[in-house]
Amino acid sequence: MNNSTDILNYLAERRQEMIDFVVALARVESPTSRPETQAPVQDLLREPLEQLGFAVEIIPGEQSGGMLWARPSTLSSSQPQQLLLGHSDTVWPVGTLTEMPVEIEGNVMRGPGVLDMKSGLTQMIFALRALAELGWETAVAPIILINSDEEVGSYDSRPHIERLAQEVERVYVLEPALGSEGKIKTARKGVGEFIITVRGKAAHAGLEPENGISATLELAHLTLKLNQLNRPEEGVTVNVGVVEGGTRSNVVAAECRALVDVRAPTVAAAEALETAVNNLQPTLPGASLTIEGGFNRLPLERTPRNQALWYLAQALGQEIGLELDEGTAGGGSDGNLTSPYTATLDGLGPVGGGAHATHEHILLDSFVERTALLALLLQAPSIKQ
Amino acid sequence: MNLDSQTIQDLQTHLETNLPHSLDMLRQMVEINSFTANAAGVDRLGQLTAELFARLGFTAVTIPAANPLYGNHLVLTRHGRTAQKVGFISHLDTVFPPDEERRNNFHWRSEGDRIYGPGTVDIKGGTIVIYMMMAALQAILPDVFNNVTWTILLNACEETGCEDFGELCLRELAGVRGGLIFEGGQMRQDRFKIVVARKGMAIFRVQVAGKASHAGSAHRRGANAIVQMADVIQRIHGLTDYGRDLTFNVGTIAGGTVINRVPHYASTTIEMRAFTPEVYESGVAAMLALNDFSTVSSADGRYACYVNVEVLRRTPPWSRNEATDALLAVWQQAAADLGYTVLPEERGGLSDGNHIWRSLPVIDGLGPSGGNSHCSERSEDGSKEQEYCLASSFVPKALLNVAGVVRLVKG
Repeated sequence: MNNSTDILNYLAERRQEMIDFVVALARVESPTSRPETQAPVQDLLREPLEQLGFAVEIIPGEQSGGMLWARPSTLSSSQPQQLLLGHSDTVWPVGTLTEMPVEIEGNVMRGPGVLDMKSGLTQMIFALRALAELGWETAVAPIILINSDEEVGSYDSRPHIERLAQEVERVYVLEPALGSEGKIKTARKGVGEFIITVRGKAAHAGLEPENGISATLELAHLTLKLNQLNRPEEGVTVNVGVVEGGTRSNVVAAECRALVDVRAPTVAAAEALETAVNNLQPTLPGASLTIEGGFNRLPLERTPRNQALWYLAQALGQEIGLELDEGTAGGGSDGNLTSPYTATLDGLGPVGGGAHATHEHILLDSFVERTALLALLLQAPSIKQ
Repeated sequence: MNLDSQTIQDLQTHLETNLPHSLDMLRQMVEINSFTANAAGVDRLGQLTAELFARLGFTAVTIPAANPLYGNHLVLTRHGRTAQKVGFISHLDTVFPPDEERRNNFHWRSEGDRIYGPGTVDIKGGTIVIYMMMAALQAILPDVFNNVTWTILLNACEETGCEDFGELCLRELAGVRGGLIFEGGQMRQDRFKIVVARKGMAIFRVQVAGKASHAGSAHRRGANAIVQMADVIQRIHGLTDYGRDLTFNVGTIAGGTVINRVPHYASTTIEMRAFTPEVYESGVAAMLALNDFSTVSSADGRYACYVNVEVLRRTPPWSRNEATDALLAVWQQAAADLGYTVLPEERGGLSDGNHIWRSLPVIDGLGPSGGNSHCSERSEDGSKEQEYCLASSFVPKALLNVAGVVRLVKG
């Protein structure tokens, strides 16, 4: 029986080293929109992983900077596996550092991407290193996938993520914890976007109004139908967020457009909502609707296997003095993509705040214990044993 | 007085002989961009027009438009020996900015009977018809030409509905036998349409204030202004009543900022049209009654949307009336002398007639025949064509109007 405090002690001694590693990663700016900026981050991760005996490969992306894929060089195909999932891209454009430098002040580290999720990537490295240096065997072989298009919907990496999800028995996602209490994310809403174009027929409003088909009126009918699909008590929301259309007050509008944000807490609700939106029909004779979009990531639900992983995390947290709680995130992550295939636990990254905001930061005193928790989770036995 | 057949023949011959020169003047006018906001262009066109009519003995006075961004109205006068007065109304401006003309390659272009170009029918062709009438009267009926005081008023900003020009007309045209408006008018073979009524128009802006909130984390706290606007739009469309010729058009809409935010603001512009003052006023009142309307609230019940309605522009209708019908009758008699038929038309669009019909006897649609007013685009499938006038309509239109004027002043 291993002593959990050994892990804590080991990582506490390397606290400064971990901080330095986050700083090094964060100082390499890596927005999704600039594929060429991802390689320097991937290089920083490659070296420590190879030292830990991982075979590291960069899978090129179509539009993104590709993804880092690492697995133990001794891995045999019969061995059960677990996936560590993260991303190297951030929402911050190149040059942000001059306005928003990486800074440490007491317990707080600020900077672009420190929370989302360069500290999470650091946790992966140091949790694996702790297990290796303490000589703890992992019954389930860890493999790693770090994509660089998570912030825009994982269009390139999605097939790889879904393929690996079908091969592993569990996935740990290193997205930041939820809120200042550091909740584990055991559920995420599914989020979708629709662009709806409404077409009518133009006509002069004074001379021949009866010959027009008003796209603005059709949009009004459509908006109220969409609004009817809201089920706030079930967590299903539909927001007609932006509309525009028409040309002049004396012309019957020929075309309008609406942008619609949809969210649902369960796969069933998301699918029902998507069907309902796609089935919307125009009200006015002669008007037409073009409905594009849908749910990009389906909800991450509290499935039995996900909940089993959560109970495990809760128990392991107690071993190192962490009282963990679970919560639901409003938006999606790549955990939403793996959950349909395998047990998934999200929000294992550090405690902090301000993701995508100028006050993005992590709380350093959470860093050691969250990394210890990850190491313990990695070391947990296989469900197949 | 009805015209004898020799005089008719002489007028016809003069008009036909003068047509090439007149159309060349039209070309020069069309080549000057006189978009309402292009004050320099409007004034250049005014200068050219004043020079043209100076040849017939007209003196020119320019009057600045009330809006300092626009050009000058033009008043051309030729004083006669008697107290009889006739007024002609046209305008200098067009709806086409110079870059739109360039972008759509919209310029003077003669194809068969059609002459395409900005303002060919709305309304530079109308001004040319006035010129052809005056030149023909001077040459063939000099007594009529010299007895009557002729006043031609050209609006610098008709397309924006400026009201100061209407006041100018009332001052300059007090006591006229007729105020003749030279917007384009339909002509098919020997059948002419004269405009005797025009719809009134009101433009409204409806703004909706809601409550912004994040669509994911705080959807319950948001009051969606676009949803409230949708409800209002349905109600406004419900006010349309074709039986009473009352129509509402929700022309433009805009609302929201980003997709994942419950929108706090939406706005829309609405145009209303009606033929009679009673219906017009009832439509305006119904719109204003939507002020402070509210049917949409946030899911948590704490915020309600509310609606604000403003009237941006009011142009009351030009209704059928006795003075106009009397003028129509004169033109119908004149048409009979020529073997033509004149039919009354109640039209949906506006003109300066809307501003002056209560004080002056007016008829409209006396300019050339044409089509596609306000359109500078052409589409492959022919569903959009550029504005044009018909070259063959100038002589019959001028002849009918001369016959009408002669009946009016001597009748």
